[in-house]
Amino acid sequence: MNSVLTVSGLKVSRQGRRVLQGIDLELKAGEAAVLSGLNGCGKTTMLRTVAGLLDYEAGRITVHGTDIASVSWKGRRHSLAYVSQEQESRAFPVRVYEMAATGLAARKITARERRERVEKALADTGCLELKERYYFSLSGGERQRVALARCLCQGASLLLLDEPLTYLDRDGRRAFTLLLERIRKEYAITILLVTHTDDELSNVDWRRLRLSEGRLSEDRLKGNMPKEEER
Amino acid sequence: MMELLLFPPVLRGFISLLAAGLCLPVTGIFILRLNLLNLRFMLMHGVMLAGAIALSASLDPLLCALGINLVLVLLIAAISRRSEISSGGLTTFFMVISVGVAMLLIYKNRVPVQDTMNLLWGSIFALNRREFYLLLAFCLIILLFISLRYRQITAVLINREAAYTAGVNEPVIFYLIMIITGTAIAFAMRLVGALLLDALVLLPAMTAVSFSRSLKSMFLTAMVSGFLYSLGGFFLALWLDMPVSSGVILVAGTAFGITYLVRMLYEKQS
Repeated sequence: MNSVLTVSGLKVSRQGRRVLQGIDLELKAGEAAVLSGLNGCGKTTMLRTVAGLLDYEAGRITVHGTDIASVSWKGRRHSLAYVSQEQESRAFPVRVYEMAATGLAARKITARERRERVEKALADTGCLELKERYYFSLSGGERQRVALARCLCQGASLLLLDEPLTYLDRDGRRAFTLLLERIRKEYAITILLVTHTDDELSNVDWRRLRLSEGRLSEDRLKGNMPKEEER
Repeated sequence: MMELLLFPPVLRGFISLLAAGLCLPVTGIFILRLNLLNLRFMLMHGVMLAGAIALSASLDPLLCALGINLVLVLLIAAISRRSEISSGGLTTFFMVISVGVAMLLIYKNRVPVQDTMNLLWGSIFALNRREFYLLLAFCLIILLFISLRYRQITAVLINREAAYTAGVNEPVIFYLIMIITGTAIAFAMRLVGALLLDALVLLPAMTAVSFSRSLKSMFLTAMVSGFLYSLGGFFLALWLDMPVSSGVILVAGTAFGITYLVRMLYEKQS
């Protein structure tokens, strides 16, 4: 399988403190990984750095072989989608359809194609019936599904999700992870999901990564099985 | 009453007010959505500093205001992007510095109090021909910006980080939003003054946020509301013989109050 994401020797400092101390990671096409760790261990920093939202001191990040620090990455940025921890809650008249369509904001396509892509993404995430609703009126689970729809419209092949299960109850967490698993298979999408504890994702057989003291301290498949290459 | 429009300064003021009423509320939406209320206060103080510099050095007040506000918004945007200092803290710092330097200049150069007070009131009839054309050009720029970059602007307004990863040139769009907001505040200060510029910039946007059912309709409602408030305010001022800025705020305030009440009643019923 081709590498979608390659991170090598990544070092990041925030507010004078070295948060990531040399991360090496490779995710292949269609692979899904859960990155867990204690609060403040650098999970979000890592995700935001990979998304190109934070500067890094040393190392290299490539998506589909393109260095995200290079000029040529600008035109390919849409191949990566990021869903942040923060949930929009201000009462502002943004509809679900408009929210999902922001994934296509930089694309020069016809209005018809735009509508078809947004509606397909909303249908695939079970949000089509919500399309006329205000985004701020949705529940936590519905908002996460709309954010996922936005990423699908975008046509991203790498999905970075920062604690998407935080605002969900147990059933909601289960439903959302099953939805992600279905989307991963259907779209052959690569997923890197950050969470406090990987117990929340007990219903999927994803790769488990653990970050501690700025380094990846664990890298295994679910159920303590070592990664395929390490067997 | 209509014969007053035959006088060039009155006609210029009337057209300026309508153009500003139509276009400046767009920046009100930027301010509300990106939570730039602090920035707006800082820019108002920036215009006061510009006024003090202009009065002290006999320079054009509008050009000074445009220059100072441009520098301030670029500074704030650049510092807050590159550092972890909150933009709220930065705007407060620059606000205090601006008004402090303005007071110093006014005191040291013995600027007459009446001239200083004019900065707070503004006047649509005091616009000269150059300022008039500058305002019209700026309004055209706002219309072009919003119509040519609508999708990218709305993506940035909804979620800046998501817009960036979707391939939108978010830094450029954000800087342009900040520059346009700074310029709009400078023009609004010249037209209706510091104390009443919200009637032109924010109240139409607030009306639109209350009533719109989508982002597109929010921009359109804000523009139409701003235009109607300006038109109504102008004729109310002529009819009651009062400053135009007061007429605009009376109409805008009353209309906003009514729309707010109607919305509350509608929400109660539904």
